[in-house]
Amino acid sequence: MKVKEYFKAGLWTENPVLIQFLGLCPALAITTTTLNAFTMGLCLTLVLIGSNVLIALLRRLIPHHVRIIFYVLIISGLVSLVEMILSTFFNDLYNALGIFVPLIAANGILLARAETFASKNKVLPGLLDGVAMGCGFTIVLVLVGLIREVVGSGTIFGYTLFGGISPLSVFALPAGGFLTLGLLAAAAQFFRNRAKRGSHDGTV
Amino acid sequence: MSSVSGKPGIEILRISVTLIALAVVVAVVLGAVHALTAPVAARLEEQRLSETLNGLIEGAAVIEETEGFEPSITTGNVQVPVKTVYVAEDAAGAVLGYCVEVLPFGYEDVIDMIVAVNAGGAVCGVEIISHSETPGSGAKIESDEDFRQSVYGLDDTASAVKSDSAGKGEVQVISGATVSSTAYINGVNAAIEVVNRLEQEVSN
Amino acid sequence: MEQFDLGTIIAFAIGAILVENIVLSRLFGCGSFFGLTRKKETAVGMGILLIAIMGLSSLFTYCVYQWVLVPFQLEYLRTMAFMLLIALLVQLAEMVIKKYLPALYHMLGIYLPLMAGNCAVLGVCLSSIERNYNLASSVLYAVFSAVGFLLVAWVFTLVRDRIEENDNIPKSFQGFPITLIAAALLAFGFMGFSGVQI
Repeated sequence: MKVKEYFKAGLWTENPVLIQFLGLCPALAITTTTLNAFTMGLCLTLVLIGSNVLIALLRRLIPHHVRIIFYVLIISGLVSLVEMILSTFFNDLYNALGIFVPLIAANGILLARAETFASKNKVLPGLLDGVAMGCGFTIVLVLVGLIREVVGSGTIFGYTLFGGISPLSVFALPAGGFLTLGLLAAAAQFFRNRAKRGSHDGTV
Repeated sequence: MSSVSGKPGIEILRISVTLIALAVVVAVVLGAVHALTAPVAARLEEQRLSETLNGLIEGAAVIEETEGFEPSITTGNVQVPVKTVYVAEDAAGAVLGYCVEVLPFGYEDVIDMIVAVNAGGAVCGVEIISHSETPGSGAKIESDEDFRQSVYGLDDTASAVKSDSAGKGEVQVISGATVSSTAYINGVNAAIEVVNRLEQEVSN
Repeated sequence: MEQFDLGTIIAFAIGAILVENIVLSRLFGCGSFFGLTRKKETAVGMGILLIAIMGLSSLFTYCVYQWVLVPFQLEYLRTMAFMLLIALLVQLAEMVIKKYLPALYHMLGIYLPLMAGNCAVLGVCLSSIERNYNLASSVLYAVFSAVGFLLVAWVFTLVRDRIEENDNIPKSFQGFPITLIAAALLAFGFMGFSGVQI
């Protein structure tokens, strides 16, 4: 597969959040500010790259029947690493993300990619898949975070807009998280339907 | 890759050995990283704390932890845990004030705040260490300077009120953030109470 | 929670089930929530299973944390230890269900092993540690949170049935998008419980 195809899959056709419905917990919970959303996306991407690469490297050594335990071991080990580095050197971000940093270990994307891709491919494809899926995840999170922060808190990256008024506070609440993701998913579906209709019209 | 030998016992042994080997490797790596980052993290943490404490009570030569305070104070029908109490003394050893770290429960989770009370028993500063309040509403306890400083000068338990004209012993809550504001006020009340009891003990 | 009279336990339960609902407030377990609420039987089955798994994992993770990790100053290994414990428990549960409740096993399909990758269980176990709950509080918190999950999952199946019957949903919203928005409304409703301090 060419690099472009990895990214097309990760960002669009097989987007982990909008198409595969994975990683919903952080997409809804941590997206109250754009910075938090981006940090979470970055952390997950790093762990995903690490886990894909390691699992691809070790795929012949991992016994098939109990492979899940092995995946969990590798993934949670990487997450613990990220936890330690984040809490030491980026303490403010670590506190902002709170319990959702260790919760990356429970993120469906990591296990799904391990099972579907990394265990069946070599290291380089695993790496590319990790980057692409991670980007897809991050983009969705950042978009949700941007909307929720601007509309819900009236700030962007911490800078106050609208003179300190929150346009629609509900967007900063959990209900708003569901709402924003729902609207984003609808928009994505709209474009996808249009593309499908376009390709159908092309063939008579 | 699957073994051909018929004995399931050997298979289980092989799996266990691989699993334990991997677990050991992961644990060792994490242990090494921890050994490297823990001292750095501790040093940065101490720096942050000392900056905060010195910022709250100026001109203090020594700020130390003290004991003999109650682990939790009941105020306004709510229990507020008291985590640490620091005593600030000047170069001559006279008490300048106290910094009380309290953990009132806000809307989402615990609010970690340090309340500085001077030797006269009046609040002279509040610093919010961490909170999980809702951005755009509850989080205003941190960003709304007027509210945060509205408790300065209090020397006795204050009650949270909604009306604009807050009298003596009353603090107006942030509109739309009643729960978070009340938690903040409870935290301040608890700190005042802790200091009162400590001063009583000293004078006894 | 210091005293264990019925009143405190009920207050604790209301907190975990309604005020701080695990799905609609804390936003844990969304994957299972959306994946397994198409049919009432599946949702209820998973909810009950979750109660059992949450109860057991909170018990084991608490013990491992307090009796192994803390004494040896290995707190930084908690994520790994908890995830392994939970994965093992889920694997065990899968074997037990496959043998004794094959109908449920077929209904849950791929989502049973995916419960190991479920924020809910790990999230609740980590929360209990963060909040310094004792053993009883941790287990009760986990069990009540799972009850809260069961409650909203069941309610959500009813909502989704209504959505299925509706023919007027715009094409862009059909499927996942409208389901999310329905969840938003449900979350909105539960906001009415927030700030309740008993």
